Amino acid sequence: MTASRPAPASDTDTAPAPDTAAPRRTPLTLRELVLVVVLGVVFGFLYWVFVQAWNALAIVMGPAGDISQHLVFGSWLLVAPIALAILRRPGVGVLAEMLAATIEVLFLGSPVGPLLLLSAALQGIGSELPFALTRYRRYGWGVFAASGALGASLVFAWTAYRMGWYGQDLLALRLGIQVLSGIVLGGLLAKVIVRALERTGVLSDFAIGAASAGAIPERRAR
Amino acid sequence: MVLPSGAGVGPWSGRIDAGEQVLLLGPSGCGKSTLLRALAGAIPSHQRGRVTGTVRLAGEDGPIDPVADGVLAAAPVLGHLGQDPVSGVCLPRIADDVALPLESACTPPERIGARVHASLEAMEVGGLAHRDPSTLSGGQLQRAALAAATAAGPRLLLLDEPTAMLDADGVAAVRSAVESAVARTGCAVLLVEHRLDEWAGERGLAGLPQRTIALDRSGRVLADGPTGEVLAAHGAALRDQGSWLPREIEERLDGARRTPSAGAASTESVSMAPAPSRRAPQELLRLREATLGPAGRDVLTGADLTVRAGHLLAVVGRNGAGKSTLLGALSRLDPVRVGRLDGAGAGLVLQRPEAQFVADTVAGELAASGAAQTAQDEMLARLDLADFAAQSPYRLSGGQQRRLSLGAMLLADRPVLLADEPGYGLDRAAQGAVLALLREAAEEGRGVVMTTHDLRSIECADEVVVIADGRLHGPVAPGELLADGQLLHRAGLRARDEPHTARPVPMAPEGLTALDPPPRPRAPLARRDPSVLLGLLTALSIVCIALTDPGPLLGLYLLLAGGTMLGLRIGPFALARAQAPFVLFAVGVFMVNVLSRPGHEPWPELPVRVTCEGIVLGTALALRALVIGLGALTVVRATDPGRTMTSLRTHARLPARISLALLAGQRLLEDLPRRWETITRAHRLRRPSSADGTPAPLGPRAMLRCAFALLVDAIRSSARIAFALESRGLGAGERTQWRTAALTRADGALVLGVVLTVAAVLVLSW
Repeated sequence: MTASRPAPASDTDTAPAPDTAAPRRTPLTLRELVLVVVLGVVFGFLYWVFVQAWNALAIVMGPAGDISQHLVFGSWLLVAPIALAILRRPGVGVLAEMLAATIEVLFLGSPVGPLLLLSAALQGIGSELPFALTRYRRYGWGVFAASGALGASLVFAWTAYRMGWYGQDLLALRLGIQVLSGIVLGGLLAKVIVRALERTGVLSDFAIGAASAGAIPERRAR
Repeated sequence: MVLPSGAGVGPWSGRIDAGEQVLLLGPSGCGKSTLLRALAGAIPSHQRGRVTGTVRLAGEDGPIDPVADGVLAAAPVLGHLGQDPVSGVCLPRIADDVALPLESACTPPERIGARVHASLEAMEVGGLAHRDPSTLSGGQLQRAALAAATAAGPRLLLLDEPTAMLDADGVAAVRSAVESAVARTGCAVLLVEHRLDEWAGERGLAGLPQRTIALDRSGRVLADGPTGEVLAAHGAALRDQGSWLPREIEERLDGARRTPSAGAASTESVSMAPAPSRRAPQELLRLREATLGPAGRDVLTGADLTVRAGHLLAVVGRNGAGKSTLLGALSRLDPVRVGRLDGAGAGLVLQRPEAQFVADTVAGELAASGAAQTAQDEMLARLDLADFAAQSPYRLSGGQQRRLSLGAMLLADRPVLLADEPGYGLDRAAQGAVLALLREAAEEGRGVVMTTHDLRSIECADEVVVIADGRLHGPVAPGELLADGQLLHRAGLRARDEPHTARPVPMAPEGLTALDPPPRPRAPLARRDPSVLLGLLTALSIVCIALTDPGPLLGLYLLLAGGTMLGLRIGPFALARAQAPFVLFAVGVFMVNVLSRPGHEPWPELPVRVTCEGIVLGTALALRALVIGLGALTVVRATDPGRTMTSLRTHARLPARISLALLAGQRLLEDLPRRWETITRAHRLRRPSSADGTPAPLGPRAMLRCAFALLVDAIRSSARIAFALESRGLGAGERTQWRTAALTRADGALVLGVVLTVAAVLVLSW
């Protein structure tokens, strides 16, 4: 029964997802998979909550409301860098984006339909690329910012085609706002959230916790 | 076993034989749960920690090493039931959850239905097979979770405070369910339980497991032997360290040393008698002839209640009787629908302290109350949290968190303090500390109200109000209530006299059991296979993306709308309402194209530039968004997540791990609005209240704080969900599938019909 499955930790002294320096080439554990799904779900839900507040503004802005979507676009990208920083495994960013989109298509219904999965894949690839270039070893501000910028720009080409933005006067303005939003909301904000989460201790059993924690101490007598 | 904090449990050497019943006893933080989790294989595969020595479980094909091989390896021989009913059941339908371990054990699909049914029947919840867990009570959920834990016939059942959140009848029901599971499977049981009296019921000590392993505060084994002997020899030591003991043993201990030890005030305050201060106390808050509850559902009617300065008032009642509703009204979070509430503003401390944290550190948590620095420092020392001032409040233990949230609310200095289940889930010492804080608050002149389902905390209240049958009864003196068996039962504090005949379970509306197939939806489109519908939607989306001409898009939209109304049996108005967000989106798309696309201007005299090209393309793009949006809406309405995943597993070979993780995510998603409401309400209570005493609304910053609290909560849930799924054997290995989805001729006809219709539209508009 256990033969087909990689042992999560053969050495009993290591963390659940050990050795963050070199990502493993094994499939995600169920724990990691569920975390990715849960992150997708929660960010999907929070996005929905905050969009309720945003809608009022978009209506006031009238035709510019269409432009305003670029302003908040970055928040769509949040989940990928957060999942990557927590789990530090290749592919997790793309997967998180796609799962968030799946949740949205299957369970919430979306005006974009199943093609949202394609957009999500492009966003995920863009967001993950900078982390992949550091071989999943660096998680500084710069990498997060690059992640947001790339996540926002890669998908832009496809969305612009899908929505017929080519030939509109606003193309460059749209791209500029979207990339800026990607850097701030989809990159730097992700780093802020990850740091805050780390402080609470809920991440200590994931790769990010193992990376910052030392060895398990000798038992403390009370 | 040692955790990263340096806390550890053991060393323990011993064996649990087949069919043996064992109680694991010790104060909070001594590592009872850690020991259970290590046996279940969660350390180190789910939780960082070091295990030295060896742990072996007797499996069918030789010994299993849960430490090296993890939860999945241990799953076939273990069942696990935790304290939170909500995270015990992971999937959106009870029967599917119970089938999970059977599928993992490669049970032939045709035999799974009968075994799921037998398992649920044994827990007396057979009629709930097709129910959604969110519609069940805590006691029902715990029994359903127990059915899942025992469905595949485990050899050892691990019970980690399974009754912490239940009223007396719920405890009795879970207790009898455990007995019938043991009778059915012959499994051994390792039980961690704070509420020993409720668990033992009328039988006293004889109702507890025959063997007890007692742990001291630092996790070392004090004793391991027959329950009666262990408690007799080590009862005093266990009690001094803060562990709960059966009442019988406590009375024996009290009898043994008649001299009341006033020195150990913090641990002894549980049985501390209230200081009777009978000098006409001042009225602080008064509820008169009130009807409470959400609009359209009266939870409480004709409620009269007076909160007096210097008084500690306990409110008791069954789960769901309306205790929290009452506190919601007293704190002015919820309006009083009929009647009136007069008096001072009240602070409310919620059951889960984590929902109410607003700062990054323990010190910040107290500072957020706006009190003076000296008062903060004083409170920090009084709460015994000075060593943790710079830590995140989320890192504190349950008892420390409870003290902190009480302390922060006390600093806010409102005349009335309300506490929802302040003692729940705490050990004797921690509960004593919390009750002492409440008592002190009352002595300082505040009015204090607490809800509880614990007999012993009632003893330190001045008066008790019982909620039963939608009305408030009392207030009565605690002694009077404790002497009245009938009233105790109505308050949910004592199970009915015959604890083995659990309450009859209300059957599902259809009365369907796991032997019946799931009910067939009425609408014709809802009977089609979800994979087929998703495939059609994808194909339709691709066709639409390729079209830039409004004509065929309009045709497709009208046909699709007609098909949806017929196929889903919904009227045009309902359909239009459901599409409202998409229409808004489409209008935006249209406007921006009309105004921002260069080309021929038909009306140059207009103040803004409007072009023909913009109008044509804008119409096409808006229609495209409408068609795809309507398609997505139709598919969502015609399917449900469970059927969709079954179908995708059958036809698209989606791995069980992924589809079930998604389903668990969907269940969490449905629960999120409720959690969001809890958190936002909790945070409103932390803000300075407005002039009339109602809690202030939240600003953007506070909303972000709430979002963060929700995220932390969800990440904690993810760990529990993953553990529950994996302990039901969900892995990448071979498994069978109980429910499958078969494609029918009607599915084929639908595909053919849609393809021909779309082709006709395209050809006609050429």
